[in-house]
This record gives sequence, structure tokens and C-alpha cells, in this order.
Amino acid sequence: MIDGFKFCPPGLPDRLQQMKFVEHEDIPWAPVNKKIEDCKFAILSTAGISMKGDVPFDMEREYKEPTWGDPTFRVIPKDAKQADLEVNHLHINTRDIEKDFNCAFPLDRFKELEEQGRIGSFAENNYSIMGYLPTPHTGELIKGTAPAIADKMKADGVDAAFMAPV
Amino acid sequence: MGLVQRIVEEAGIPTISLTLLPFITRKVKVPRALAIEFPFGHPFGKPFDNEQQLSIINDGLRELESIQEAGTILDLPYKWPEEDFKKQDWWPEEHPPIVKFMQEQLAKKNKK
Repeated sequence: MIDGFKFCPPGLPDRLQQMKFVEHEDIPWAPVNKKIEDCKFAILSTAGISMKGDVPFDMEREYKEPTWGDPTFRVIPKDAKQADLEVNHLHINTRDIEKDFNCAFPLDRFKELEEQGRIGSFAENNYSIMGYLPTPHTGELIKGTAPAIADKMKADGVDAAFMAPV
Repeated sequence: MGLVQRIVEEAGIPTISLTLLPFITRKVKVPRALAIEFPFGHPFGKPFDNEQQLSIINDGLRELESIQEAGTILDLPYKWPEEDFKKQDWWPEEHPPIVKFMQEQLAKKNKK
């Protein structure tokens, strides 16, 4: 059994226990109907990654309004290079992601898996959100951001998605 | 992120995720997840450790195919090296605004 609180600061486990999350009883399920070798994959990270030149995740507003978090998303093309990206997330240390984004958003590894034929293909468009979203502000994520990401994935013919929070 | 995972799955696209906080993932309830004992900011491990990054992705690809029960959260066996744990170097360089905000609120309360 892993220790899910190993990397939390003292006090955070208690705060998390008291925090309200959007809880559900039901669990959605979409069966995997193809072999992994035939599936087109897209990936998603919560690291607050954006392309330089695109609008960055809004840290200025979060500084002014600490109980708010940017609920929008950014599209990252699979061929993005390290120098093309910036990371904005005030709740993690972004140093390692700024050195090698693959430790949170493994575009390069998925391109290798595509070349090796382990996956069918790797989608042109991949996604980042910014993971700090206090519950009063999850509405825009649920009503706007997440359905928009799902629609874009569908339009791209994505068969399966691999997601990782930070 | 679990919320996004649920909505993408509801749209008919099967999903798998890593989680650094399985306690939260269990509440939000996602179709398939793999818990990993790594510090925040590093779900796929260390920068430039391509082999480990690939190994974790391959675990995900395998479990995407094999998990049959919605809500399954499996533990991955990877360990963060103990000598690196001691460095405690995964914290943001300054406290997030919410921490400062809560400290100020607490200070105000204590003054009253």
C-alpha cells in the first residue's frame, strides 16, 4: 500500500480530510474497444503548461484572489519543444518540469511509443489545465473546460486519454 | 483533474490517470487510476529519466486494457529515493497565495 500523504507538508492531510470535494456515487465507464496498438492517444496534465505566446494561466488574478484558480485549458501540440513551453502553477515547484516537461507531461515518450508501434498514434493536440481549483470555482471546469476538451478529442478521433495531475 | 477525466470518459473516450493523492481520487471517483508515491510535480518521476517515464506509461497502457471494474485504483511500486526525500525540494519557492491568505485570516482571528 502506498503512502498517499508521504509528500504532503504537516497539516495538509488534515486540511484535505476537511476539504470539500465534488463527490460522486456513480462512475462513468467507456470500454476500450480497440487494441492499445490501434488506439490514438491524447494526454492531459494539470501542471499549468502553455505555449509561449499563448495566454498563460492567470497567476496575477490568483495572487489577488487566493481562493480562485484559473479554470481554463491550453492546447499543446505533440511536437512542442521544451523551449516552447512555460509552466504557471503556484502550488508546486515547477523547476523540474521546466527542465524536462516529460516528468509531468510526457510528449516525447508518447512520440517514441507511436514510432515503436506500441500505440496506434499520438494525437496532434494535447492538453493542460491548472490543477488548483477550489470547489466554488469548479463550475467552469465542469461546464466549459472539460466538455470542450472532450469535444476536441472526439473531433481528433482520439480513442483513449492518459491523464496525470501534479 | 478527476472531474475532467470523468467528463472525457462520459463522452465515450476511455481514460486512465495517475494520482499522487489517491485519497482525493477515491472521493472524486474515476474509472481507472494508478497511485504513485512520487512528490508533487513529478507524476512520471525524475526529469531526464526516460526509462522510468516510459515504464510508468507502459504500466498505464497495460492497465487501461486490463482494468475491468470502474473505480479501480491500483498502487504502482515505484519509490522515490530516500536520499532525495530528505532534500524536501519539491515545494514551491514561495507559499501559494492561499496559504498566506489563511495565515493572515488566522492572525486576525487570534488578535480578536
